[in-house]
Amino acid sequence: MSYRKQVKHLWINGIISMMAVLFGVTALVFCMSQFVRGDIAEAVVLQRGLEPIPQQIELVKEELGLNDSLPVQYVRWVSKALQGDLGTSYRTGQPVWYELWIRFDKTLALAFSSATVALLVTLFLGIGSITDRSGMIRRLCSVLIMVGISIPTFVISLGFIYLFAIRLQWVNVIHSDSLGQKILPVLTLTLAILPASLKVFQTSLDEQIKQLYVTVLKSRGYSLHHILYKDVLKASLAPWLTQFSMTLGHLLGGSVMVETIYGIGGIGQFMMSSILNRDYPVISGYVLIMGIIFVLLHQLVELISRVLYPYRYVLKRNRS
Amino acid sequence: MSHQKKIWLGGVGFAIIFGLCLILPWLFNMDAQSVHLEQRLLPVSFTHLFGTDILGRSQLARILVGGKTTLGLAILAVIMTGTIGVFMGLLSGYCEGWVDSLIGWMMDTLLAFPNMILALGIAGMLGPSLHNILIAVVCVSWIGYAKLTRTLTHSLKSKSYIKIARLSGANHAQIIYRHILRQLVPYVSVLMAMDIGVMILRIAGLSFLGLGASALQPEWGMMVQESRRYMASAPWLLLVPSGVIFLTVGFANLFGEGLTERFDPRRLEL
Amino acid sequence: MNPLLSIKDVSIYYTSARHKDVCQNISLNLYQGECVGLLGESGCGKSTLLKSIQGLLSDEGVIRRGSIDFAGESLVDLDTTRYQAIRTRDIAMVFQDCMNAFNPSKRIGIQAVELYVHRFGINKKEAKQQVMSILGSVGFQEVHRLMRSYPYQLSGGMLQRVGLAMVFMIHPSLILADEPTSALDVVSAQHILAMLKDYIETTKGTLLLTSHQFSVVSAICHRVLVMYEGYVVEEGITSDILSSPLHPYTINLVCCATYDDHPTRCQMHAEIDSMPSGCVFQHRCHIKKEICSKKQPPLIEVAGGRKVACFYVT
Repeated sequence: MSYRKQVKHLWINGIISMMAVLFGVTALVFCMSQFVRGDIAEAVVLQRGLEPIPQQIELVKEELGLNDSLPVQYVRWVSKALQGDLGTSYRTGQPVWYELWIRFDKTLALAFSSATVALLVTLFLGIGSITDRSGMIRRLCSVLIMVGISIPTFVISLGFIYLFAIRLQWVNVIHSDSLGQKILPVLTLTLAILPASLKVFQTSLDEQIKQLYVTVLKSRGYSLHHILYKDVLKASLAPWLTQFSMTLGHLLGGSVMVETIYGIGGIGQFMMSSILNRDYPVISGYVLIMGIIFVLLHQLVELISRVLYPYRYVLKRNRS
Repeated sequence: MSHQKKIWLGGVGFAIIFGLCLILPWLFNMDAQSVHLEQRLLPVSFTHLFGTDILGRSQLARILVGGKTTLGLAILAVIMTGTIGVFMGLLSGYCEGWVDSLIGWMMDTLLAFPNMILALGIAGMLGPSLHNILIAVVCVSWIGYAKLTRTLTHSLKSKSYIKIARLSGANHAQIIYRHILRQLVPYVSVLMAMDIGVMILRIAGLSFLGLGASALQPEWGMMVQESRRYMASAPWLLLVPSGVIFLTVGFANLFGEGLTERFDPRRLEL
Repeated sequence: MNPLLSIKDVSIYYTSARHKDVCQNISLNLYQGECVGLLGESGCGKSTLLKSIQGLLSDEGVIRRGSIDFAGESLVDLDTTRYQAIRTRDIAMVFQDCMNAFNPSKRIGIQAVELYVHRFGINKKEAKQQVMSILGSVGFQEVHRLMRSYPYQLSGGMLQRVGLAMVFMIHPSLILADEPTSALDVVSAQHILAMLKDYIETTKGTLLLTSHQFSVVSAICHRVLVMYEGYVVEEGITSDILSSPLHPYTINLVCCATYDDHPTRCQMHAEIDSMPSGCVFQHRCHIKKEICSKKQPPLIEVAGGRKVACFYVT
């Protein structure tokens, strides 16, 4: 098969599998929300201030179309979702997408800052463990990784709050708008994803340094610094990028924890309070949105990876 | 640290902690529930080894009993995810064809969500309770085992001795049991060992967020949440459960790491 | 005339196996314009010797004694900056494994241009022009496409030719080639040898080549040093050695290379872990005498620049 055809096949397969996954995602969330069918009708009845007697509930069920067959309901649900209608929050009465939308930027800001800091620290420590002859940085990394994967995020958060807000009184956790206040959550989330990121990067760097081309570069007279920054770095980031999807997952998941503890007011925190208040439309809406975002981001990362590192996805072609 | 040391240190450390949680409360008739308001918020001392909380309950008792809950759930979760995952992986790898595609699609769908978020969603939908946390965590975590089992089954299936067994009349069940399952054991058990720490963190995390809401059964994550209010006045309420979680997960991870290193060459063989 | 490269009594060992010297008392004088070959099996120490010239021995390789002088300057225990300067301008090495000798994540063109800039210090644009013209003159078609390729897209032969072209680009005074053709098919190997021969003849450059194949060495080398287990067992002009090999090991090699019908002489390599007393070749030698098990024969000049290390011959 010719090269072009193979590439085209790859694209088509990719898109098909992405569509299949998106279908799966929506189906899953739909199924999840089916678990609470009875409760939905009942909750709506209560919300309207009516008596939760069986006839009322039945009426509402009819109205909401809850007695139709599952596939019909699914299609209806998906088409509504595509138009942006994810239902209405039980608590606030506002559309779900609205509630999520107004809080989205805070979550995004937190996630981005933490990701950036984590990347910088990873690069710094990773390269440092190679250039630092005394081996101190390398040991620091090992400790960081070992400890990092054993501490839950909530312990880190509370620990920070205890240390910096209560004991040392460096920051004030009550008013969450100052810059100083924002440092702790970012720091916490960074620490949550740092161990995994560092481990992947370090392993990859160590592997690259052993490669022949590094010796060849040394033989050409390049200094270690030059080799590291100009050549090894790019090659080392390849596996890191592949793992990035997972890091992203931890990031988004961890942000729920961090938001809740620090009171950031992002969608994660909102989701938590919705769970505790049994606000099902919000719960399913949130899960759906996050799922879709994650799928798209994953594809984006994979695309970038293919462009930057084509040699990792080598197709079988006739060598000249 | 050599992998032998890791296995021993991690394994024994974890076993001791878990053992203490199982044995001590029973041995000394410890009471994690009884309220002694006159003894509330006492710091660490000889009479109250871990202090007391706002309701005067002995923290030592609560930690031990809570450990039974947290660790028990985690171990149960690992066993369940392992079983389900291996089963699905076997199906997928052995049957191939549309079964494989279907299960693969299920796995991709589940993987499409950030881990915790799906677990949160499931637990949220089902309602806050400890067994719902278990269900949520299991639903999300079986995929790793399934993928591993699938890959292994695939490669094993093509080996000659399997073909010979088929030709000599063995049915599928016998083949799976005798040849494939046995070979999976080292890999799967390594994965399970590594997973214990992760499960503890997930369960404690979900419980911390309030999804395990059960005032009756103490649980480590829940205890950390409860200690929040009194952080300033009674820091030990935060430090002790946090420290215990860290220690236990640390031992479990050490054990898992040691086991992985020991089996690593065999993995490469594949 | 003074030799360009002068290696005197060099012994090298690896810290992982202290008891055994990988190179034993090697001496070699290389003159400007010469092509000298180091011939021997894998593990005889030739690659180690080459690496030590460029100071590329890993932390585990130690030069126990001896001196390596290049244009009058000692190459042992230099500081890093000086090594880097020498590697940049004066001595360049060609490696055996061409498939892995390039950074897989960068295009060939970029790597070549970077090298040119590193050597000559001109700006990238000019460098690119120069590189492209050099690649064209070496015989590459479709230079543009070559520049834009990633290493994985090229075959072994192509990669080695590019690697060699890149070394030529730098105009080093001395080229070290570590088994440059061992990983290639016969046609590509011939091509590489032709490139090397051409280079020496046109630029009067100096080349130190290693190989385990006599055919390679006899194709382009003026002189040959035959090595076995770290020792030099014979040395001389290529044609002489080819026509009348003296050391039993050389006889083996020449037989195998020319498919001479004395199969009994071509014996398999024996595993030797520790240093036996006596001649290093005694276990495979068919003409060994009693004295051969007592001491290692010294390398003695026999006639007209020929040296042999064998009690039987001398």
